[in-house]
Parts: sequence; C-alpha cells; structure tokens
Amino acid sequence: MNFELIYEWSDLFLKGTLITIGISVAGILLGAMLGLVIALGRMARTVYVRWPTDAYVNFFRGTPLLVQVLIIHFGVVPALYGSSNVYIAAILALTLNSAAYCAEIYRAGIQSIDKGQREASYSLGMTHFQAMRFVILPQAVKRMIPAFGNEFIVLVKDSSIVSVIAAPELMYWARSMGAAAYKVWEPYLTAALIYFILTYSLNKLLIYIERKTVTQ
Amino acid sequence: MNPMIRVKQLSKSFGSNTVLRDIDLEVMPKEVVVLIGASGSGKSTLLRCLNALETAEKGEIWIEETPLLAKDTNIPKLRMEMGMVFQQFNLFPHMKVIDNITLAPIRVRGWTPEQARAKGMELLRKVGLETKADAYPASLSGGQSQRVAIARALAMEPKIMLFDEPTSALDPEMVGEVLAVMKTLAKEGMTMIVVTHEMGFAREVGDRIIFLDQGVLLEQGTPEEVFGNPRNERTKEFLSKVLA
Repeated sequence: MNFELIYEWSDLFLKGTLITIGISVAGILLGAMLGLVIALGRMARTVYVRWPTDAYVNFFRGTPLLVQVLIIHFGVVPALYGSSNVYIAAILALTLNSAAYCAEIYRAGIQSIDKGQREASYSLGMTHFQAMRFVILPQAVKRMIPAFGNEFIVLVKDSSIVSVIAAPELMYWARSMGAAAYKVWEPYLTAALIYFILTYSLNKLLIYIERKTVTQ
Repeated sequence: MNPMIRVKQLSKSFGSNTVLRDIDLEVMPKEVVVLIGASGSGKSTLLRCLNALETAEKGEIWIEETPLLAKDTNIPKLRMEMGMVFQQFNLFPHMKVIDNITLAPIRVRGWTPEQARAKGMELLRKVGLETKADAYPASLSGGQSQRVAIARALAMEPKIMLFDEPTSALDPEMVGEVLAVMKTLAKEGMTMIVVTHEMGFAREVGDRIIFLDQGVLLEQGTPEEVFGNPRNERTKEFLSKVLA
C-alpha cells in the first residue's frame, strides 16, 4: 500500500465524497417525496392514475440503474435542457429510481395499518386525505423506517454508478486515480472504506431515529 | 316529527352472498333501536351501510333530508352528524387520549384547540376518565378504551350514534362500565342504533328491538313484545338460545 499516493489524491477523494453525499441526500429526499405521490397513485381508485404509476414502478424496478443513468444523461436531460449536466442527470436518475422503491415501501406500510383506523377516521367525518395525513401515515411511517434504511443505504452505494457519466463523485476519482497511477488496491480500497463509513454512519443514524420514534 | 333515518328496500350482497334483503326501517329522533340476531344475520352490515362504510347496491337511505346513496352527496359531511363506535375501539394508537378526541373537532369542524380540549375534557369527565387525558391508548383497559371511543365520537356533537357490538371484545367485568355510559346517553335523548348481544341492555334501554335473520328483518317491536311474546319461530329459537 502506497499511503503517500493516497495522500496525494486525498483532496480529490474528499471532493468526490462530498459530491457523493450531496447527490445521495438529494436522491433520498426527492425520491422519498416523489415515492409518496407514486404510492398514493398506485392505491387510487381510477385506473387512469393507477396504470401510469404502476408502469412507472415496473419500469424503474425492472431495468438496471446503469441503463437509466445513461438514458437520462444522454437522452432525457438534453431533450429537456438542450445540453446535459452531470449533476442534474445524476440526481434525476437516483431520484426517479429511488422513488419507485420508496413507493413500494409506502404502499406496504400504508396497507399494513388496520382498516379499522381508516374506518374510525371516516366515521368522524374525515376525508380520505385527512385520514391519510393525520391517522394512517403517522403510524405507517414508523413501520417503514427499517425498509427506508435499507433503501437509503442501497442508494448511497448505487450512486457510484453515476461515475460512468463522469459525475465527479467518489467512484469517479477512484477510477481516475486507478487509471492515472496504474494502481488497483490504493484507489479502490480507499473508495470502499469511504463508502463503508458513509453507510455505517447512515445505519447508526437510522437506528437512532427508529429507537426515538418507537419509544415515543 | 320526521324520522332521523329512513331505509327503504335496502339490499346488499358480497359477491353471490346476499347479506341484506329488502330492509325497511325508520328511526325517530331520540329513539333507541337495538338490532339483534345471530352472527352473519347482517346487523353489522346494516349499521355500516347507514354511514357509508359499506355501500348498499339497491334501495334508499335517507339521513334526515339527505339521500345517502345519491351520487352528489357529501359523505364526510353526513358522517359528521353520525358517531360510530366499533367493536375493536379503533382508537388512534399514536395519539394521547385527549388528542384522539380533539383531532376531528379541530381538523374537521374547525374548532380552536382550546375549544376542542374543553369539550374533550368535559366528555372524559362524563365517561369517568378525566385522569387518562394524557395517557396513550395502549395503557388503557378494554372498557376504558371503549369509553374513550364513545367520547371521541361524541366530541363531534353527532345527532345519531351507531354502536357496532361495542361490548363484544371486552372482558365480562368491563361490559358494565360501557353499557352504563350508553344508558346515560340514551336517557339524555340521543338517537341510537345499537348492534349488541347484550339482551339485558336491549330490554332495559331499547325503545324498539329489531330481529334480523339471514339478511331479512323478521320481527320488530317494543322489548316487551319481542322478548315477552315473539311471534316468529326464528325469533323464538334465537331468543331461547341467547336467554338460556
């Protein structure tokens, strides 16, 4: 192991790590929000809402993230903006992909709540939206936390895939270093260690949140 | 006086299984109507049709002047006037007792939190649970939970109260405390429809007893008539079993 070499590249690794954190957090937050909308769509009564949201989930769960990243970077973003931007493409791809998985987590969580809760809400004059907002979701979210934890950790690791469109995140700099210095162990073990620290910390944070919400 | 509830030729089936057949029913203001019958006779389904938790496919239901089954009827608005108490209580486990009670008055009726809380505390005193205001439902006994559920329904100031086997999930020693609250309500003039297996309660508090059998309204009358001198063979058979 050439630690001096790693030290030489440490600025770029740090920069890449920050960008990995940035696009992951953006993907998690936006994906969780979009996922809720998709989940509610999949539980809607009208097929015109259900069909497109079903198709959405099937497409994003049924095709590789790598393919999605390439389609979005070289196809979708240029079609919308004229030219592509690696950050927009990376965040968009991670968000859309994560939303499909989050939607399934929401749906399972919502459907796990006893139907008596909804009936009691309705019997008090609440609308469908009010029952969701005040009764169903607050209970369902607690049950979803472990599943969301998994999804978020997967997303942090999967964010490495956007290195193929040269988004300058952690994996991109590891590959650059590997190519430039003609080394294997130094760049990839460093990257692995940093990813591990990120997911391990995220896991600890989620366990803390879970404990806090359950004892409430 | 106009009836609070009118049901005309109501039918309902789940798939090929007919659970209600041509039910006719009128409930007057301040009347306490008790629905009895074997399980599967359709009495809970009838009750649930009255506040649209089940949709009847044939017939008419009128709540005061509003046709429940009309397409443009505002169902949530209609339900505000009808409290419902469930067999399984269905308290909101993530909220304190007082918040269970004030949620709908604040969010649905638009009361201020202070106003709703005052009303909530008054109702908790009424059901004898003012000390439990800040407890979570998980810490309550079955009887206490059901009394909170009654307070929660009353907080919306409904004109009608529907009770769906309110004591069936309770330990025997807790049945009395819930029935006592219901008795008080009946005395105060609340219009009530009660599905129950508590024949003592039906006889004492009911103004009218209705016997359902296999989705058909077979017999109705005052408690004296139905319990004292049942005319229908099925009623006799049922009563001899439950009163034995």
